[in-house]
Amino acid sequence: MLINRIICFALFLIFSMNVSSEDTIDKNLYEKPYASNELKSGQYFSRKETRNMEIEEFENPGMIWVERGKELFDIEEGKNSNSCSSCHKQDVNSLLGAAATYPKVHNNKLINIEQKINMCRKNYMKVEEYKLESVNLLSLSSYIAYISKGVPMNVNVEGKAKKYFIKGKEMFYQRVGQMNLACNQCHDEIAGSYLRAERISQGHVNGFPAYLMRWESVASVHRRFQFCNNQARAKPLEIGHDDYNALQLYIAWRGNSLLLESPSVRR
Amino acid sequence: MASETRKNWRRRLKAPESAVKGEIITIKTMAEHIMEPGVRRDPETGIIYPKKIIDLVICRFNGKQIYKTHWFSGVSANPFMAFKMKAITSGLLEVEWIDDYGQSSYKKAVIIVYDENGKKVIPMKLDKINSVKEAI
Repeated sequence: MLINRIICFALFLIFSMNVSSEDTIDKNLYEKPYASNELKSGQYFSRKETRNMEIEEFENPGMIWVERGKELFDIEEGKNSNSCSSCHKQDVNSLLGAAATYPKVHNNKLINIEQKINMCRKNYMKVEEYKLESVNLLSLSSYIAYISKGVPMNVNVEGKAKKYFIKGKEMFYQRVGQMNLACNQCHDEIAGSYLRAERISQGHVNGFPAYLMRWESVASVHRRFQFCNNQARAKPLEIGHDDYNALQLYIAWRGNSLLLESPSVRR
Repeated sequence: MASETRKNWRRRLKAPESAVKGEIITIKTMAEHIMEPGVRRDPETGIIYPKKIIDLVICRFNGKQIYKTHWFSGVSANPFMAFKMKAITSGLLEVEWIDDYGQSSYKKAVIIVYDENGKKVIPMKLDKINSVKEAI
């Protein structure tokens, strides 16, 4: 009898633990490291000179890319001589706030804004896709992000996007590389303190595509992720990889309600 | 990205459209350029990227040189430059960038200067022109 009772109790314990652990995972899944009033964009952590450079539009070198993107937006290409603006009329502002909702699920696949531009070129304009991380693609994406400057980030993580969101969250907390570092160790726990000469930011992506001074050009989020992985001495994935999109989705959701400020200037 | 070739390098110039005579105005310029210092190597092949920088910037006002700088390999990419000048007469401001391959590009802006009475200050004297016409 005693053994029976013990087994019963043990089973009950295991069962109850299982239930409770599932419950906590579901609750913890949407738990943000920062409350909405604690969110600080990367601008807050950068130096005064860098911040001034970003705020004044003429001094911001990222605006060169935006101007080029504005021209590319109107250039007609292909057999049907279509341009971006022949569908997205500029006066209607149909793209206002579009950049704040990416990455997004499209035909059961998570894509970011650069891949969406290429998709438009392939399906509607019937012309060659831009190479990822090429000047023209970054110009267009930074122009589209510039249109919705000041719009709060608002990515959707429910429904079809949930599995990508879980994958992204796993990647955020996974230790990688020889340094054995995970994203959260710097950007959640010690944000605001100094790493050599630079302050660690909270790691939001509301300023991307950003002008990065170390490369002297505008860079996408994925190139920045590659750099992060290189710093931890891990092998980086390719630009445009699905896992990077998932990670971008998690990070963008983490900073939901931050205002878009592309093209920002970072170091 | 030194291997990328771009045909139209962007030049930007910002100057006030109008000014009062005697006012000190700020002129801001920015040139899109890689400013390759000539010491960096390609990480894969080990080939040194050839030096390519803007080494001379000349500013002219009504055709007369007012400002000139020599740049060397320490200047960052997409160089930003600002300078101040005193507005005396209205006229045409030109900024010319010349790189070490001899390629030059320029950008221009018109500044109109008004005196205290609200009249335009014109860079030439009208009396002289009229007198020349009469003589002919």
